[in-house]
Amino acid sequence: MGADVAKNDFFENLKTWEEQRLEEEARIRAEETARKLALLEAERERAEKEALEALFRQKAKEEEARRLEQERLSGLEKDRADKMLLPLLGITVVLVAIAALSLFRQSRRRPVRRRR
Amino acid sequence: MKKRYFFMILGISLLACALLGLTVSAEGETLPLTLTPALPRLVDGNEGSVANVTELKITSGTPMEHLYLMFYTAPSDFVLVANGVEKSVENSFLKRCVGLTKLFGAPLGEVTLRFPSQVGLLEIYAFGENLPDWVQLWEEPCEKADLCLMTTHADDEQLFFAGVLPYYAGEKGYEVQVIYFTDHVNEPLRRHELLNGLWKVGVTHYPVISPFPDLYSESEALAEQQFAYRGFDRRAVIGFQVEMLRRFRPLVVVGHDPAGEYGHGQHRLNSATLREAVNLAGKADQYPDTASQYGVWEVPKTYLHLYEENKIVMDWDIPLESFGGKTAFQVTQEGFACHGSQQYTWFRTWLTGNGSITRADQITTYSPCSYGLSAPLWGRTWPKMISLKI
Repeated sequence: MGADVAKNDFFENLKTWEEQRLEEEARIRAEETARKLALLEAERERAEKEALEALFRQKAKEEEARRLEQERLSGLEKDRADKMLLPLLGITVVLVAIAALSLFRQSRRRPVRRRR
Repeated sequence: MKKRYFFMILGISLLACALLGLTVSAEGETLPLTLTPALPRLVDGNEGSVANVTELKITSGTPMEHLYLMFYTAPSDFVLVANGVEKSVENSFLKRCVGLTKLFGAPLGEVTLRFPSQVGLLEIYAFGENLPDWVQLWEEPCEKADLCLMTTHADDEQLFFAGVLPYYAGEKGYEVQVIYFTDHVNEPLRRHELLNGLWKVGVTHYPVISPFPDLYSESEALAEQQFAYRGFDRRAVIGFQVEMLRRFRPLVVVGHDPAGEYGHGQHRLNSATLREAVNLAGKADQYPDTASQYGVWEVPKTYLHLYEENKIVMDWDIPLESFGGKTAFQVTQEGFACHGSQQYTWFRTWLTGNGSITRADQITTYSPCSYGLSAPLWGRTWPKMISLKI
């Protein structure tokens, strides 16, 4: 209160409307600038993130394509191998059958009786 | 030889006087007008005579660039017609100056004035390019005020609040809003006196006048009762003040002595309800209509005249640059002189001492220099305001 008396002013320690208005305007401007900067930063981050995600998606797609190709090739390989195995199996079965048959025949032959 | 010099000097002096005279007359000379229908009361230079008008043709031999209208009891919108062109003018001031050149693109020798219904006019003036100082070019009430002066009657602002208006509105150029607690419904000319006085002391924002009537009483209770009989209970009175505080959001409010200066009941009531209003204006649940219309407002500082707490003694005897070296107190004395109807009262003697009082510090009873800080908010926000200042 002492200051008021000394200064002869009801407004001592108070700001005038004009000062307040200017401060308020400066504050609003600063807030607006900060908001715009934040928006720009957010936009930049979003774009960066999207670019990275797109890159990852592309890589994943390529990886998937490579894997599918690999699977296709190994499937083909397996088919070829399977196809080659069948004749061998047939031949083996035939040979085993021949061998078995010959053994069976030998075991069924009558022994020769010697005449006394 | 001497004679020749004498006549030469005389001739030069006369020429200089004539030139000076021309210059002076060019600065805001009122133009002679012819009115149809003839209404001499409107051009007699007497603000006290009224004429009722609905339509009026105004003619001048010299092209008119400004038209100045004085309404008697209430302002009214009007239409101006010239050269087949109609221009509507919205108006909420009792004294209104219209720029004809601005409105019609050229000065006018003849213009017709039309009102939506019959209105009472006091005077009509027309001017050329320049306007005299006494023409009042009012601005709308403040959008946001630095200081609100909550006075009661037309003249209190120039008596008990002497010095405040010339110092803050005129000299410092602050946004100052004057609010009258009563309206002199039965003495419409006092509205004109208050406008003249306010203009004289440097106020440019049009004042707000409450709807409460001016009635004499010697106690707050009686003043309250008188208002209540006329449909304004205490809640309505406080509501009006809360609305003013919320509407103008002042940093400083100046109000009456709680004891009513010399004891007038309406001064007491104004002071008491103002203190209540200051406490309620910041609360959203109080008077919610105006809270939603204007938002709430906590007044940082409220000074009451002659208040005993937190006293401050103002010096109104400092010469003011914007008033040619006159002091705020002297300017206020001139402002009070505009209240012609009050010059017979003891107030005149109190303020001027019939010529013997020229300084505010010569007044000892109800000193216009003595104030006290009342608002509780000040204590609460002190540290914040100090830090802001630093």
